[in-house]
Amino acid sequence: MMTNISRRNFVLGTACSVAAHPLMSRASFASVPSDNRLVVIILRGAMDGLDVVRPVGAPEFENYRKGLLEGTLHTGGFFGFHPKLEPLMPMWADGDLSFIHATSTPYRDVRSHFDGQDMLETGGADGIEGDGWLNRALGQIPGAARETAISVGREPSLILSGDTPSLSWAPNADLEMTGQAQQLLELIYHDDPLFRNGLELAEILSRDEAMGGNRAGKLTKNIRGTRELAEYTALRLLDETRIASFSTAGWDTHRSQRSSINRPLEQLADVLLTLKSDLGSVWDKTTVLAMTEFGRTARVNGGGGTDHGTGGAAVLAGGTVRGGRVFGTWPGLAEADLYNGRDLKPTSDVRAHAGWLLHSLFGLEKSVIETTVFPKLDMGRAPELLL
Amino acid sequence: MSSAFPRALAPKALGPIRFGYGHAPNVNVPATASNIFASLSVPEFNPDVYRPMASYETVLVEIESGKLRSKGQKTGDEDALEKGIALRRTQRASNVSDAARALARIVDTPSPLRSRLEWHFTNHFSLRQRNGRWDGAMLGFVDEAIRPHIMGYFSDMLRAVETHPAMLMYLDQHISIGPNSRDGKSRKKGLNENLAREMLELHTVGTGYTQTDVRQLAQLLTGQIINGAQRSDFKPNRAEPGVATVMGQSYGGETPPSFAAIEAVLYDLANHPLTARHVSLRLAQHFVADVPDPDLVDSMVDAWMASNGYLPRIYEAMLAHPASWRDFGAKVKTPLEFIASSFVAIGVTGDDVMQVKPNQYKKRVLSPLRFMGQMFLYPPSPEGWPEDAESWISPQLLSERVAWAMNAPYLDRMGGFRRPNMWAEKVLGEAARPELLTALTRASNTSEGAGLMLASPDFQRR
Repeated sequence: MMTNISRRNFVLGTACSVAAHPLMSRASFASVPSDNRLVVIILRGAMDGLDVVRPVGAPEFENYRKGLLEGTLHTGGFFGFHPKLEPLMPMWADGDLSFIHATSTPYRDVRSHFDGQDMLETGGADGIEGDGWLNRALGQIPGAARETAISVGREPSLILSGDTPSLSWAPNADLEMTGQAQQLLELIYHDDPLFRNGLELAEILSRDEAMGGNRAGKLTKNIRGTRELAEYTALRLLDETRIASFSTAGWDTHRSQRSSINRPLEQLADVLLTLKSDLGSVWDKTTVLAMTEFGRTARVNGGGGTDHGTGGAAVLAGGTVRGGRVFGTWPGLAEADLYNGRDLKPTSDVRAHAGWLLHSLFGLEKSVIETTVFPKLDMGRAPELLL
Repeated sequence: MSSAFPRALAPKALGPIRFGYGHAPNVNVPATASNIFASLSVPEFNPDVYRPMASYETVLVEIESGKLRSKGQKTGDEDALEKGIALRRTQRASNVSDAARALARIVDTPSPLRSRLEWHFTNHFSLRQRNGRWDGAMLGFVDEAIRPHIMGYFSDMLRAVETHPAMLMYLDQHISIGPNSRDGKSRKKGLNENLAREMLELHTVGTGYTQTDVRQLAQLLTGQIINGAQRSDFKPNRAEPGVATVMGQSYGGETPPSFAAIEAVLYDLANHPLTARHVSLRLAQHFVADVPDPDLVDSMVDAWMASNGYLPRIYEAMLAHPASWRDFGAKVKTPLEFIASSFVAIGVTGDDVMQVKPNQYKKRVLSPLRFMGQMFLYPPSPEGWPEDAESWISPQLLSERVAWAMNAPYLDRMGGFRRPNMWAEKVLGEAARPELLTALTRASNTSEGAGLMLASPDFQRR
């Protein structure tokens, strides 16, 4: 908790001079709206839910997925897991990990990553413009200040952008300056509040990062970048941040999926394990929701991969979740059960799941979620994803 | 605590910064209102840099061919795969070199204001490619629909933009079908209001229209499609029949429906007094202040109404108004302006930019632009990039600016000056505060001082 103290002192020590800044003017450092934490991870590129959570009990599965069946981790039930989820099996057994299958946004048919991701992040019926749903949700949380939510990483993200102030930081967006240069820059910025406050906050955010240590140094290239995102996210969540978002990429496995999906899966597993270990006891108050723009085709293609589909899977982790289970109504894999005869049919709207999490974690009213956060959404009955 | 910006600055010092990309170390950049206006008519002198960008349709056709690759992957057709990969590779390289050429054009132009106007109107008609990859097609759009009309009538620009395949595609006009048209009836497909709405809200009048106007305009715009050659085309079978009324004027009613009705409504919208006000306001907001002096905007509107929306008259009115010459530093350069003006200050030429290898250009210009919050020609929404300083100077985005400044390409040239403070005096003139000049003399080495010069608010504000 060293971070916390030093940070407060730093901010308080300069607060008198920065009263005009929007961050400081909210003056709510001491009040934190909730003890619960929510991490939303965007899995960019369309994760193949059928490969990650394998419906081994479905009679068609083996036939559809030739070449992609190796190493299934069997649970004894209808679903098994991709072998790269092995490191997460203790979390599954502990009840801190679950999945939602056959879910998607209302986005249909065109199957463009970018429109799909826009829909996933704006959460609205119109995929092309607007702010992010997490930003609108933040605006509805009483006592939320700018540091309540953070977008982590350099990847531009829509989900937290909008009118309600939040932080963003990319670990390694270091200033990398000598002490002398930094002092001179502070001097040059001194009489310009906008630049001065930007620099001060950048220094605070990167100092926190330095305090987290450089454990990422020796990792394999595969997971280094995403480990940094998870570590930094955990640091913020231990401080005043309650909502964090970042994204991982590499899920667009059109060919040789047997190998190409390994890296993003290793990253996902590592991110969840890093969050759990770095958050310590705060993990018990944390919910992680990892979601993707759409699923992939039920059948493997000629290149050993899968193409853009419709229904996919979402991942839930954290001490708060009802773990060790796969949520969702299973639509079946028979030809007639597939969407357009090719994709897993979505049986739930992933926005409703996100909405229920906001309801449980931050007390947002259902009516507010169905109008402000996800306009026109029907959340349906509570899926009871959390304990 | 005092705030150093905005502040008064002599017109000669302010002109190049506000209406261009700043002062250059070795060239006299047009600085007074009359010189800046006169420069608008000076032709470009570097033909290699100014040869046309790959056309929109060419790039789109190439993208389609590029799909050979994935098709080859799926079917195992080795020939198709190889062809597709080769095509994609040349296409990618030429995209980056075209992007470099766009920057070379900026640093080489004899009329920085004309270049700034090109980028402003590109942002006024904000659009991006829907497949999400930056494929260079947008450079073709700018060359085809924006640049030719910067020194012409707004109505011509509006017509070029709203009928361009890039716009039809971006705002879903190509899939909008008149519900009572032949195709609409047989396919049970209907209107898409996206283009009609954004045209009224963002591109033209901005206010004073109703949902009925949106609906009626959407009906009028039907019939436009993108054909197999990736060009715009008009199909009467998809156009909604009958008369439509937009902003009190009636259009259409011919049988079969004709493209002339679309041209007529675009012409009237371009010349609507509310459009004159909206477009003038956005120009003044971009160049002068987020909340510009109402009298400045009035004078631009008067020039518009007196000239039928002849754009040079509106620029002239803006340059002539005293309010355009107040409050230096009220605005912050966009990331593109920041990088381009850094190159101008450093003394980087268009040829220098063109010699940068594609992967280096990506690393040193395109990625930094993105990290500073302005992915090249990929704006976040039809509203375009933000104008307010606060949006660009968040802690993270500022860090990226500072990081780029401290290691800017060709930084050691420093415009041919030996000391950072002398360089700052030349390229900022009176825009440099004494505090900045003092700080620059205290830098531990010249490149550090040079980086601090670019990172200073004195340089990043305009």
